Amino acid sequence: MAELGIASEQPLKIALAKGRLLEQIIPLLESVGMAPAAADIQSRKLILPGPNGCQFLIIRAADVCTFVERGAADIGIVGRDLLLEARPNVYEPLDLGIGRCRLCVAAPADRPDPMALPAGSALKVATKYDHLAASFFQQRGVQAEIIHLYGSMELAPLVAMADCIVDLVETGGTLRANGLAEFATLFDISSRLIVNPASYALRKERIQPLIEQLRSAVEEQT
Amino acid sequence: MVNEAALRPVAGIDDAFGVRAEALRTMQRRLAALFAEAGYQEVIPPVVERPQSLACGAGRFLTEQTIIFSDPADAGQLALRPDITPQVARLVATRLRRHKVLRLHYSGPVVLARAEGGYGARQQWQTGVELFGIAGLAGDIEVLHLAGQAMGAADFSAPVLQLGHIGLLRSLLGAGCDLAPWVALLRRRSPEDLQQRLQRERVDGKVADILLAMARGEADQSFLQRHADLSAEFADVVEALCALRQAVQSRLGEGCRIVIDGALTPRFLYHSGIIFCGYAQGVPSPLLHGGRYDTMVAAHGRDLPATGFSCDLWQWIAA
Repeated sequence: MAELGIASEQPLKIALAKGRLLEQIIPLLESVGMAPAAADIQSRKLILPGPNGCQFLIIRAADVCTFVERGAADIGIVGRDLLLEARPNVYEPLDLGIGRCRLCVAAPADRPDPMALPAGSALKVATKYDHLAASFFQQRGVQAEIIHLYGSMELAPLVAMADCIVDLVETGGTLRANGLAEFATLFDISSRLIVNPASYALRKERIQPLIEQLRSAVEEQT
Repeated sequence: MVNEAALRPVAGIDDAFGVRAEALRTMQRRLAALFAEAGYQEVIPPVVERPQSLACGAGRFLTEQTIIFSDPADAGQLALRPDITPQVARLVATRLRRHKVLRLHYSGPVVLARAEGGYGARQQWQTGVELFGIAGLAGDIEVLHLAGQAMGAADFSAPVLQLGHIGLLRSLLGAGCDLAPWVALLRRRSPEDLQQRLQRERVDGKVADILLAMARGEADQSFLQRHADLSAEFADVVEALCALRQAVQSRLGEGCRIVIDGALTPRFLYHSGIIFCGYAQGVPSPLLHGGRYDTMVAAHGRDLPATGFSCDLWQWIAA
């Protein structure tokens, strides 16, 4: 059998979502001395070196849960919306308080409230959150036909493909610009640190101090 | 004429041959030898059972994972087992009833109605041990020790056994409390979500502090010992956990690390005492699950303390 402690010597792999969220994550990581170099962030590399022998995997936001759940990354940072939708088997030890928005039901402002339809009504809902949307309407006794889209949700009710949408809303500007209004909030969303349970069990000595450092940094910012 | 439809693979079900079949049988023999040496006798329950038998006791947590079909010979229904533990409990409560203490091991295929986590495998090669008739620390030591030995026999690198106790949560929240929502929260270890529930349920003071510390990953052995004065029941559980860890760690030596984690949650809510799972370097999910389930055999008609663990050999040979 191999000796104990080998697990601690592997690089700690941290999965980060590319795009707008990354811009908010980097200052937080910098505040605990764990950020990748600025030049590396600008490069098109997918694996970036980090301090203390850690590595950053730069991937699509929707893939962060998968990389962490399958152990390709020990840690990740991902929106709560994706955690609620995918329900991955990961720990969520810290809400980072960044990427704040809300998951909402929105529909054309001049049409009937989709939350107040007569019993037995059917509803077409465009979303990329199939499970959350289906479950939300099912709990309210509304038969919802879920239309899965990958983006530009706001368009679906405008071209009569859907009655309403379930999507993230930050300022509401895009909704207003397209004549839509919010009718219900499913969840408040922010980004969370996630950890693979096996990594946590095997490398707690390395992971727990990082969580505590980030917790202090988040508390200082709020 | 070849029927193309008949040749299509079944979702989540696969053939094994060549090196994979050989690896499974080698691992199976290795574990069977270990269990036999520890005094455990093999049982080979059938792959099908009456649905009612599989759905009672520990099996009731897997009813949605059970494939049920018509039995042309009996004009009734049969179920394909998703778990062997309820079958072993049935055996113990019926054909093996005259034995006061039973050490049994098993190894065979089980089939789930749906893949755990989407499009993965629906078949597992469940292998494990069950110890009946020995309550308390003595039985827990024996089974936990065997779990550590099993990971060692399979040559896993830097294995760790995570050890917890459902009694921690029960003593914190009270015997009448429905633990399911709390277990679901602790499983994700989100202090923020737990805090919301604590406020909603008006749980505060030291109990709330300890639960939040558990979610934050702070509830190791020293933390639990420092807070053992919470209640006599809590202190008893902490003492039992520490004694168990010390006894098994000294037996296993440095080949397998045992860590107490107060936030460890059971896969299913049938456990009545210790719970544990095994990890090893390079394997992204638990290699084995186990624990004490003293009240579950009664559902099959015999009140008998029980403890055990199981693993999926397909996972073990792929790791």
